[in-house]
Amino acid sequence: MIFSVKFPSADYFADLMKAVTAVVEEGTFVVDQEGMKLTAMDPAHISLVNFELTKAAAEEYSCEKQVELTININELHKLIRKAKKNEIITLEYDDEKKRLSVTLTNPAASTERRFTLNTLETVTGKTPVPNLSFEAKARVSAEAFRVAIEDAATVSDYAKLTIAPDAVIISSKGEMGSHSTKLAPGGTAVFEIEAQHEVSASFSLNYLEKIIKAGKTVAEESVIELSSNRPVKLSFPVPSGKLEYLIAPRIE
Amino acid sequence: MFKAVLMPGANELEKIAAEIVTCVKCPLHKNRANAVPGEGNPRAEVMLIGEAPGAEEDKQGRPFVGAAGRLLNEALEKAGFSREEVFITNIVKCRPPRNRVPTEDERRACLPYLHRQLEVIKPKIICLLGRTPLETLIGPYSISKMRGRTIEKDGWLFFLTYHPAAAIYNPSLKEQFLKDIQKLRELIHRDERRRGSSLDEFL
Repeated sequence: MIFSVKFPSADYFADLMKAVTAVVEEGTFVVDQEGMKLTAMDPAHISLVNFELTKAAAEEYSCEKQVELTININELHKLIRKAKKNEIITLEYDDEKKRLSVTLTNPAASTERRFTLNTLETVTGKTPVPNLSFEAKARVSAEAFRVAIEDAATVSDYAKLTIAPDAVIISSKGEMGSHSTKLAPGGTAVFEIEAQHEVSASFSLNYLEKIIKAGKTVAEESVIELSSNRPVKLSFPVPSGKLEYLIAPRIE
Repeated sequence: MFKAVLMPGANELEKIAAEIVTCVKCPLHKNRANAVPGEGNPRAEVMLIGEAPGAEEDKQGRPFVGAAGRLLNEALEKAGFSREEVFITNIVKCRPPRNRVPTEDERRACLPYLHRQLEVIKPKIICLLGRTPLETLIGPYSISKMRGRTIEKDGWLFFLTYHPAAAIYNPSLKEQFLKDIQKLRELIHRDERRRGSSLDEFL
């Protein structure tokens, strides 16, 4: 075995994989002595996901050498999506058979479910990541953000995100009407805002909706980093890991 | 040969086609009735690339007009594409004797025409039909392992599926082929570059 890793919460790992599929169907994980990472863009290069789980997230972790593992993450998620809260997940990779073995163990019930998944040929190289700096940052409730994005989608296929020194505003405008949600600090929706002045940019709701929905299942808060008419960075805090997305702006 | 002659790019494609029909760069020209440069929309978002013309294509000078072409038309139609909105061509533009796989030398001689067609059309996605275009444009991979995947290479986005000729008499391959072409349609729908920017602009 090149690597063997055991995570204590199989259903949380399944949610993380689902979150990655908000951007890509397949991707290349780089697994080394420190943890597992994946950076990938969707085929249209509108969105990017940057995912990482360090070995600190694992109950047991061993990796002989760095390996690149290209897998169909949709298929992996299909195998593990029915994982239960009290199940442990073990991932093992056999370099000779080019196969990932996934075991779901329920210690209380003494049951063990085992799946294998064939890996794919790694064809494309490293995903380039835009080097961005942001003018404004807000830490918001993932649920409040999700509801605002869902509301925006009722009138349009794109939404404008605005971070002002005193509020986060999600607005949209369609042929038939418009929408605006203001999230202000002091309540349960906004935890922190860092902005010297107001910045805003518009994004496809197709991408925003998928990403917020996926991120909300793994984290209670979302960090929005924004500059005017530049990509937005959305981060969802993951224990001993990282789940970040970039979405390219829609230029009016 | 190209129906939409007034569209941008049509003239350039006609020039390339004119060179192809008189091409003698490899031995395949000796036995051809007609060269088959390709046909379709000069501004196509999707370009489909097969292996080589067969007997019917050689006779008519048009790509995918035989039995495999009928299955391709069926798949395109079911996925909501019209044949007129895509561009269809092959790796080599002349029929190899007894429909054998074109040799490396034949492919190498013919590839500049394909590259020029790609530069004129600039498709958003290039659908490779079968092993020969996969080997020629991506690398020595198995099509059965690679089908259904999108691969980025040399600045192009490729989508991989079986050659329709392989799927005609194999119901499970046919089902996968039809699904793949449906997925190709979804990939085009998902591509919103025309309405916004892409992350590439910020690299």
